Amino acid sequence: MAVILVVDDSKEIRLMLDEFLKLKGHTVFLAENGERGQRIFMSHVQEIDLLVSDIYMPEMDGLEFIRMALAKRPDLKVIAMSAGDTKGNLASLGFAGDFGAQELLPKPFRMPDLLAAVNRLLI
Amino acid sequence: MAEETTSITYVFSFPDGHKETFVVALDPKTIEATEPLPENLPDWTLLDFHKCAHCPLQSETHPHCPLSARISGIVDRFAEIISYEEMVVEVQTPERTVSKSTTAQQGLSALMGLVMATSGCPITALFKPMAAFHLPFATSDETTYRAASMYLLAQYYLYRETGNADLSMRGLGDFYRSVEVLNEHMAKRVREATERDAAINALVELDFFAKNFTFGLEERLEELKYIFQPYLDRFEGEG
Repeated sequence: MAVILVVDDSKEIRLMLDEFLKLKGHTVFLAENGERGQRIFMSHVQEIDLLVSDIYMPEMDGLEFIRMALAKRPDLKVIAMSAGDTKGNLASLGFAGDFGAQELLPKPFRMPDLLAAVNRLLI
Repeated sequence: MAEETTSITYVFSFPDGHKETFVVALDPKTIEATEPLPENLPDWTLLDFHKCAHCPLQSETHPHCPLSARISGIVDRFAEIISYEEMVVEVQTPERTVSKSTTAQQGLSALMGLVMATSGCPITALFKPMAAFHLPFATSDETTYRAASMYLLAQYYLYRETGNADLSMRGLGDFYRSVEVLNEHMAKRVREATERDAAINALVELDFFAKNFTFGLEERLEELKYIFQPYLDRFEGEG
C-alpha cells in the first residue's frame, strides 16, 4: 500500500478522496493548496509515493507544486486533476502533463477512473 | 395549509460590497420551480446538446434541457467569478436564515443543488424531498443521513402502495450513479457557457457528494450506525 498526498482546495473533495483512498488501504495526507502541500511534502519527502493534485488553487497552484515536487523527487508519481482553469477549459491539465504528471483526470471523474490511474502508477 | 409558493433566497455578498440575489420560488405541492423560464435561452441549454445518455425527454416536446434552462441564469451571473473567491452567502427560507463565510464554489453548489432538484428534470426529481427540506451547506455526513433517510421513507410509501420495498439501499446507489452520468454531461454543457470556473466547480462539488453513494455506501452507512444504537438496543430481537 502507498503513501498518497492529496491537494485540493475543496474540503469536501479532500475528505471524499481521503476516505476512498483509505478504504483501498493507502495512507493519505491532505492539503488545501500547493503551499500547504509543499510543507507536508517536504516533511515526508521520501515517504510519499503518489501525489494527487488539483491544478487551480489559491496560494500556490497545482502546476507550480507539481514542478517543485518533481524537482525534489523525479521518481514521484503524479496524478493531476482539474475542472478547468480560470476560463473553465481543460488546457491546464495538458500543462500538468508537460510538467511531468503521468495521469490526467478531468473533473468530474468517477472513482473507478481514479482507482485505475492510482493502480497504473503504483504497479 | 400550504402557501401558493415557497421562496428560498440566496444572497451572495462579495468582498467589494457587490451582492447577487437569487430567489427560488417553488410550488409547495409539486416542489417545482414556478418562475417562467427566460425566453432567450443560450444554445448550451438545448436538450440535444450533450444530452444525458439516460435522459427520457425528447427534443420535440422539450427543446431545452429543463435543468440547464434553470441553471443558465446562475451560470450567466457567475460567469466572471473564480471558484475559490471568498464571500458570505445568506440563505433565507420561510423558517430560518442561515449564513456562512465560504467560497463561490460552495455557495453555488448549495444553490445549484436546490435548483437542479426542482428544475423539472425527470432524473433529479428524486431529490425533491430533500429540496422540500432544503439544508444549505450540508456536510458529507449530513447528506448521507438525509439521502438515506429520504430513500427509506420513499420505500415505506412504496411498500404501502405496492407491497414492495427496497431495504438493501441498492436503488439509492443506482440513483446516484445516474446522477453521476448527469453531472458529467452538465459539466460539458457548463464548460461551453462560462468564462471562469466557479459554476463548473460547484457542479464538481455536488458530484463528489453523489460519490458518497456510488462507492463504499455500506461502509459509510456503517459509520453512522452508532447514532442508531438506542434503536438497536431496544428493538433487536423483536423481529
